Amino acid sequence: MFSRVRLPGLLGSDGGASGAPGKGARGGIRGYLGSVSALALCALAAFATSHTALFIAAFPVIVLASTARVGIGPAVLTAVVGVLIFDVIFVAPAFELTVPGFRDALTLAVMVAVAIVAIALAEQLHAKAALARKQADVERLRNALLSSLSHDLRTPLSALVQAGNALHEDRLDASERREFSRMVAEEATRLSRLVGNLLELTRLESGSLATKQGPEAIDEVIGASLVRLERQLADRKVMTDVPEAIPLVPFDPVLIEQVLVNLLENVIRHTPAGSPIDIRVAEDGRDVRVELADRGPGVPPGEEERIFDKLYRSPLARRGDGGIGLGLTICRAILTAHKGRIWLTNRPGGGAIVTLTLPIREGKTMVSSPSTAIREIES
Amino acid sequence: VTESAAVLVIEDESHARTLLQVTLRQEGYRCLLATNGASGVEAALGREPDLVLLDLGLPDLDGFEVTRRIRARSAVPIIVVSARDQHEEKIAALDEGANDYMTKPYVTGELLARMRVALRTARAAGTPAGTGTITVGGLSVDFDLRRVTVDGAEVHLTPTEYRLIGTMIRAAGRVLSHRQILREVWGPQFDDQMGYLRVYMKKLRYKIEPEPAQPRYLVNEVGVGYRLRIPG
Repeated sequence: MFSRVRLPGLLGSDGGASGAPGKGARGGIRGYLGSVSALALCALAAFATSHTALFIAAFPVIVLASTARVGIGPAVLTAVVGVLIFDVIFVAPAFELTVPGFRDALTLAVMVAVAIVAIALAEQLHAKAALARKQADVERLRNALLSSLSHDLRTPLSALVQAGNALHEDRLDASERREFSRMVAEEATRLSRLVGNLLELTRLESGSLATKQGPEAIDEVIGASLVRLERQLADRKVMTDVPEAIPLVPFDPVLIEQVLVNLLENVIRHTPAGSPIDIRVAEDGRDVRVELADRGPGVPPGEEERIFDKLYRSPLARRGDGGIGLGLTICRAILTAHKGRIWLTNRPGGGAIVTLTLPIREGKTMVSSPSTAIREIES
Repeated sequence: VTESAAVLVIEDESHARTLLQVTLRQEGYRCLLATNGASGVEAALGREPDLVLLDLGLPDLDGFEVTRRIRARSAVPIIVVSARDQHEEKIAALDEGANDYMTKPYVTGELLARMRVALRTARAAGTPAGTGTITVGGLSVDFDLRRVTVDGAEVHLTPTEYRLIGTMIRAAGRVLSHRQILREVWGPQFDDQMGYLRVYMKKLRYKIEPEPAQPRYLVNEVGVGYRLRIPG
């Protein structure tokens, strides 16, 4: 089963999060009142001076200003009120809603047309401005990402170049040589992890990631991620609690394994060596839920959401620990692509619990009623 | 003293080739080199190496094609070396009969361990399938009595579970692609029924693994297949 999933943009290309401007939000009651009373004032002035042209000339200006300054709602109301005022006051007989004659009808039609054009134009401008703002945001984020990356890439690279050259020139004693080779191995590993995360990010960013979502067993993927980190987890007690009846669920195993590896690497980096890790799996009929609990410092209260932001680095993280604040962002993007969720809470008694959910959907039937084909083969 | 094993390295990138050559010589292997797919196939068939290390992304032939041409005339163990984004090509090579894979960047020690397993399996081949007893760590399958034991205790398996564990343990240490396992256990017409495999692999794991979510034997090679791991 292949499905193309549009991932929420990691670099802020997701639409409409900030609320499209020009619709209601800026208007409010004051916006409506302001626009309509400006129009009423003009009508009063035009009526008092018997200059109908004054009102007709002021009308598009007020509608335009209203669209631009306070929003669509007030502008539409202003336009409607304007047309009514014109008909009631300036079309003879005055102070009656009348079916206008040809000249007045033409004026009314022009007023309506002007209002529509003004509102449409202003709306277009708003959309362009919003797009420009969003592009500026993306640009800022991209720059922050690039500067962070170039630092994080250059640091291990420069260590590699220096250590490599020193080893090549053969002017080191035995213990220095050992030290330098160890450095080469470590820095190269860090670099490789960075590049791995970066590739993942680009793949997610391209937005055309094909996720293979066949029926998968979550316990298998947990097992695989633990095997992949076997060496780093050697000094830890990992408790796993997976009920046998957990249904198969549709997900991309490669991506979900990546999520689990990212989460476990976070735990390894941020919690005391040797502290235990608990992994619990449960289901509630709608979702399969995985909880990963550690005994580290947790996160500062109020930061539970922010840690999923792009480039967020925990104040507790050591500089140069190989993290660049992308791990959890990638995790969230992957879960979102699966219509699942991921969040963090502090564990009572210390530590953090990361919970992720995957919707069961049609996967449920896989385990509770093996298809007849399987039963046929079995017998 | 047995003669040292000969390893054919098919790799177009010269630094990677040199690194492998030096490492392999230090480990006591004889090293043959090929810089593209066509000469690799020729060397694999003409010079009869004991093992082939095949790098994916060769300039002339893809890994699937190289594996297919070698497999057509030789049972030499093939280990595929690939980058992460060559997932499909890697699976195609495994389906075509490659024995194992390594994903770059890898640690040398791990490659050497995989090579030892592949060489050992190749030497052990020749015993007729479906007879005798194969033991891996605490897990033992007696093909004559159709008996499976874990740490000495008998485990009761359904016929499908038994065929599954038999298939896995005969390939102990090697990765088998989903497709290969499905063909072997369920038959060629079921080779896309991933659901069967997931369900039965899970049942099997709960029967033979002390801690199913931290498997000792039946390891999931995510997105590729399964491996019955040789502990230690």
